[in-house]
Amino acid sequence: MAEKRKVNRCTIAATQGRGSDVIVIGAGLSGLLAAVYAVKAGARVRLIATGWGQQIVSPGWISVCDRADDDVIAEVRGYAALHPEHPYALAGLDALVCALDLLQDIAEEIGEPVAMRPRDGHNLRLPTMLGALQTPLLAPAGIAAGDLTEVEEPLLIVGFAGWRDFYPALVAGNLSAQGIAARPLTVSLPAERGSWDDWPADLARRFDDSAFRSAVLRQVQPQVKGAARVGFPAVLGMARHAEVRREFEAGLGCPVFEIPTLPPSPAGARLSNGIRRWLLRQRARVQIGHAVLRGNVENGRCTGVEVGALGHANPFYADTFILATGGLYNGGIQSDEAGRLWEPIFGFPVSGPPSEGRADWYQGRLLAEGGHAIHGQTGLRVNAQMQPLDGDGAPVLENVFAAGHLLAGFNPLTDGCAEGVALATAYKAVSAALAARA
Amino acid sequence: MTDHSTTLIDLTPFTADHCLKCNICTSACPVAPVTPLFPGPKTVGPQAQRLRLPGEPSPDHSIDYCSGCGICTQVCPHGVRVMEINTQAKAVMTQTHGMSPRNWFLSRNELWGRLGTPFAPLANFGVGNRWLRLIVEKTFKVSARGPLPGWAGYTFRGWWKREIKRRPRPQSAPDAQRVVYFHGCSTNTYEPHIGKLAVAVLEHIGLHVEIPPQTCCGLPAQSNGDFKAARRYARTNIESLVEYARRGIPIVGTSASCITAIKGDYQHVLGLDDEDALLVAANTYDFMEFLARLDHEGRLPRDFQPIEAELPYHAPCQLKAHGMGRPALDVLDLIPGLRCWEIDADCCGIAGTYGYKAEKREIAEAVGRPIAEQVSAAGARLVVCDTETCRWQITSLTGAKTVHPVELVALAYGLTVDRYTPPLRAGTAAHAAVGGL
Ligand SMILES: Cc1cc2nc3c(=O)[nH]c(=O)nc-3n(C[C@H](O)[C@H](O)[C@H](O)COP(=O)(O)OP(=O)(O)OC[C@H]3O[C@@H](n4cnc5c(N)ncnc54)[C@H](O)[C@@H]3O)c2cc1C
Ligand code: SF4
Ligand code: SF4
Repeated sequence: MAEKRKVNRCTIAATQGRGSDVIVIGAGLSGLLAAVYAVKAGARVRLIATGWGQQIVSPGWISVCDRADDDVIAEVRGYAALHPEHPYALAGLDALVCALDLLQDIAEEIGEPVAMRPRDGHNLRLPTMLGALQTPLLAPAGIAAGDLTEVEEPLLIVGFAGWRDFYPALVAGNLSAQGIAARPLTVSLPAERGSWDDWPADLARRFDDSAFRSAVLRQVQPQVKGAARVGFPAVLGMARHAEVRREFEAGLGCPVFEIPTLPPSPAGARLSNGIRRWLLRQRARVQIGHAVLRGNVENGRCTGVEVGALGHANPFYADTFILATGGLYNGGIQSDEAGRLWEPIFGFPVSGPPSEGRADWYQGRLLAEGGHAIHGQTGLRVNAQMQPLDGDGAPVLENVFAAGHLLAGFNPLTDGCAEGVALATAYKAVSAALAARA
Repeated sequence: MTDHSTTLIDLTPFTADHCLKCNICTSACPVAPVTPLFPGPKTVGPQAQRLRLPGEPSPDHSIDYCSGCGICTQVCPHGVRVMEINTQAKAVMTQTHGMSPRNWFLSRNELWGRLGTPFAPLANFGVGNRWLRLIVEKTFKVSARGPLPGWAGYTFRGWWKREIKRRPRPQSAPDAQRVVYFHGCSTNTYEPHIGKLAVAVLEHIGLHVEIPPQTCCGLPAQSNGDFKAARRYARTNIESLVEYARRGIPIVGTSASCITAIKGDYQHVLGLDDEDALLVAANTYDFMEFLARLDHEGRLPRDFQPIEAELPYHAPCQLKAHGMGRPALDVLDLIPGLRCWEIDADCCGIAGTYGYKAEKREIAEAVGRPIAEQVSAAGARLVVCDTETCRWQITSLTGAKTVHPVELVALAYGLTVDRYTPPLRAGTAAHAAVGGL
């Protein structure tokens, strides 16, 4: 991978009075990274989102090119050369590399480090809660510690009696069937909580409590019996995750890793919460809870956006805008029964599958090879500056830049690159926005 | 009159149908993680909503532990009004099971404020007396640790009456230069200085202030499930304010939670969606929101004296519900030397009357813990916050003093009022410690 690049700080008067330098719309992975980057570059930033994006419930791992067998960046470079319309090709490989560095930096800074394989730049091979293997490039350190590329065996997979969200025998059985020796262990959780099931995040917070986790640890200790590594569902602490993992590794005498659970996943929440706290401490604004209704446009520029609020809409002004509102599933693109597709804030042209209504959006089978047309062909077309384009290929607005799932040219569901695209395009969009201000 | 542009699915109970069960709200709810008694917003909100039939009793009583902070509604990316669904379900429970005397007591803040005023010294003694509070906790289940304010001994309205007699304001202002001030019960009887400072700031800006008759916003009754009383309060306010709204005169208030009720809850929780209610909502502004707007229009004087301080700011949950961002921070950023930063906390725990209930006090304190941690880590001795109950709660959690942002604005303008000591001095080093930025 390319050498680390540091973001340059520039100095701008730290007041938000009459408007921000950058308004970021959307609080998914793209929006969060865009806000972090802009703040690090010294801009006054306002993040506005209808609600949290999916990052907060995600496993927190970063797929850049899941199918790559060796150097991931080299594979992406080759792919981008053949697919000039793919967001990777438009944003450029530098943006991807810088974005991954930036994510690692901020994750480290907030105490929730993410990790990749040391040195070789290959994908991780990580177990899921079904015991299948996923191959993201980066993951939260505790999850990345489950990398099965060079397996020392056997693994011990620990679950909790009566907890509906994780079955160690299922994980261990499926791993063993793939030739990775693994053994399940079920331990009991101290004192029942309430009359309903724990969500993963509930359990994670209970692990923050040292008496609770010691009671779990004590049951696992005698069962390690030569296991090379011990895997737990990703509930090892919320605020104190790093401490919990350290304690478990010391107590068990071997590496401890986490396996992502059903949402809401504590791994995604740890990162999102940490980034939110960091943004606030840098005096950026974080406004979750209300949708941006429309952009106000004058002479080819956006002057401000209106937020749908209680009583009356509220205007917010900025020099530049990053649109990271997600795709069809997140509100960035809307559709109706007639098969129309539109971008609700600026009315940017949306490209979609050639169709007469929604019937042509899908293939016959849910898990059809190559995915469905609606997921692969829908989105905003942008130029290399991430500016949304009109039918003639010209930028619609000078100072609005788009990033993430919203973009056309890739299939976020089947391509195995959704997070990589979210990061690279966010990075490029902010670079272009800051350059446009300068 | 019903607004026919509203489709059925936009009505609060039916927003449950937008729910994808993604659990983002469950991740964000500040109450569920600190008590085993509450399963979280998705479970008691859109999930239980499928089992609630019109006219039938509510199936799930754990919903009583929902504080009504509204964080779930804000974080939901799909437009499910979870808190509003919960509040309506709580009202059904109150209808079915009746209201406890304690909840009735907490719903009548406005009454206690007025009744206590003439007896302020005695009443304040009672509120401050640990033994009396323990007896009240045992008999009425009002927590002895719940931070109760003291009565000022005079009312803001009384002061205003005397004030305009003493110094009559010219009545000739055009509507564009008029503004209505909504003080709320707390300013009226516990913290009249907030209202006096608000008037001073509005007049410094050059506006003609009107303070028409008004009553409790209704939020305490609403959150205790007494919709009948809440609607009665709401109606009284709407009738008094609508005439000004028709003339386009802005209505501004210093209590962010009262203003949430007028702008949003009247419609989305209490179902008051007639023309008058909507008109009042559209013309109502949080005080700091109003100042931020004036600034955008170039109408806010910028003759601020510097305040050298770095202060933590807490955005109350009910303020977050407005969708107006953080206007207090935007305005305070205009004051030279002042650097405020937002504490990362969804809710201080008090959530109106929730944190006063004996069985919920511990939960309320646990919800507010992140505030205490961050304030203490920053070594701050002064915290800025827009809502009164939150300020009292933050003081009780952190030991720090708390101020409404209008106090800092007035200070920077060099304005002060009688019977009030400003928290800081303008133009000098503050006593709040400076944490690294
Ligand atoms: C994320 C998720 C994943 C799931 N995964 C699985 C799975 O893998 N396997 C499995 O077996 N099950 C699964 N389930 C459960 C399964 O989806 C439900 O059990 C099933 O959908 C219930 O069907 P239903 O028709 O009874 O209720 P619902 O699908 O909930 O439909 C109820 C309908 O009635 C409407 N309604 C309610 N009140 C009123 C009213 N007063 N007036 C008019 N309309 C009203 C509602 O709006 C809704 O449209 C899952 C559920 C979720 C949420
Ligand atoms: S209410 Fe909203 S946030 Fe909560 S589970 Fe449903 S869709 Fe998700
Ligand atoms: S209103 Fe607050 S306490 Fe109630 S469910 Fe929503 S987030 Fe939780």
